[in-house]
Amino acid sequence: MPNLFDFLRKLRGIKSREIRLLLLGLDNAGKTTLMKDIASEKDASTETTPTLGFNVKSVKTQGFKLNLWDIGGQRKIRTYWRNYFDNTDVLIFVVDSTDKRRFEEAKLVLTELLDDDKLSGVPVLVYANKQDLVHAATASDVANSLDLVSIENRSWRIQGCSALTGKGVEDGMSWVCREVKEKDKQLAKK
Amino acid sequence: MPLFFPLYFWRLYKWLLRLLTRKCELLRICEGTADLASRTFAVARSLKNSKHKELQSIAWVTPAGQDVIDPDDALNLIIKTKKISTEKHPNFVSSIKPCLLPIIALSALKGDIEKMKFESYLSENDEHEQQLTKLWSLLVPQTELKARFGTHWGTIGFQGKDPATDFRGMGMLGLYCLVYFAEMHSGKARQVLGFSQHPTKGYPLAITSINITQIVYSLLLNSHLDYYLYLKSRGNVPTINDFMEAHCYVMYSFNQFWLDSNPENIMAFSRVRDRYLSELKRRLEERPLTIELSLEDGSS
Repeated sequence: MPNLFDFLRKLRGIKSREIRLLLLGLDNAGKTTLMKDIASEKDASTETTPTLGFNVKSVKTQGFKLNLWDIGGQRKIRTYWRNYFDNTDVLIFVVDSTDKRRFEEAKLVLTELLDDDKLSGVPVLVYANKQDLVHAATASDVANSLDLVSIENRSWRIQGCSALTGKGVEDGMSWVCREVKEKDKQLAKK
Repeated sequence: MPLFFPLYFWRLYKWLLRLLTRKCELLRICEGTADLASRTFAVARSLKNSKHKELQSIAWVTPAGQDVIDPDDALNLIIKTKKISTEKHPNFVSSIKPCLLPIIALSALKGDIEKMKFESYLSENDEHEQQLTKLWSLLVPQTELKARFGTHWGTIGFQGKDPATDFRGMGMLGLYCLVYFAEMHSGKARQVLGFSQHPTKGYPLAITSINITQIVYSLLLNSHLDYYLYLKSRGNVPTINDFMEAHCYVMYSFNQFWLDSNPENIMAFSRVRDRYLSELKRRLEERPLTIELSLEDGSS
């Protein structure tokens, strides 16, 4: 009963830990639909249009307040991505698993993100999205194409999902919450 | 009028009024509202909130392909279901009759537009491809379209090398709106395109238009345009062109609003759009309604 849990926390005046999540990826990867799915909005897929600028949403879950920043993936907008890097807890990188022609471009974009100082050490969750479509590459194919095994000095995870049906999305978000809890524990020890 | 009551309060309120006046809501509307557009709007709202499914379906969306009810049949259905005595209330028929045609036509129009929205853009479909090339030649007639794929689509504001993916949520409706704007108001469309290409204050025209199609579409489906369309059609039928014109108007006036807001760059888009939208909604609720959602006045 997560609602009761949240209610009790509120009653005791405990503020939820805020998590800043950055949703990035190429245009048409499915970032906005994914965000709508995480925020459990009804019309998740049917009305999504290309994102101009960015969208922000807050969701309460598992005792956390997730602040989701969904930033447009268009090439021109990517130059502004860096303005949103500060204080990011987890980076969520979304890939359209059906668009194999653009895996290389996705890989370059991801590499550039991971090389940025502002994001150093930030855990990264890669969603291999659109798994509901028959010609989608599997999560492990996506991981290989993006060469995720070469990621160093941060934890990462690949998660197959369909933002359309919601399948796999929650598993990824659970990983995100575990990562943040783990990090907070380590900080507390120090 | 307590417009924003939850439905059960609304029903309780109606029931009390019915007890007091001995008339059902439709009768009260038809006897008390002289102005045709207001009456049509009120009748439609009453039908939508009716507890009878058959009455609801007159005023909600009629899915494309489904039979559209004849206005006379609708009238008989209302009289029968609501047990209205036309002898006791001789003016009821003449009062409600002119409302029914626009209501039924608007429900059908919503269904037709919904269908276009759900029609995905397919590269295999020749007609779709033709519309896309037509859009190019209308917006940039001076430059020949050399290839179907490529970064040149960016000049008219698509995101990547293939415009097809940008149509996603709005389907062919998004493309039809763009083509209509570029074709019927070519002067204004190219003027807007010019502003949109500004190096810092610019915005990608095509995907902005698709976003605006989504705005106008959800205004339509959430009945924010009903009153306007009833007023404009004056007892006649609202048409697809009214929708297309509304899209053109919003494109044009949003462009002005964007420039006036003097945004730093494209990242201000959602903030500016939300402010524009709440202003637009406010104006649509004004009575008397002064907004004209159209660029049609010979000045284009």
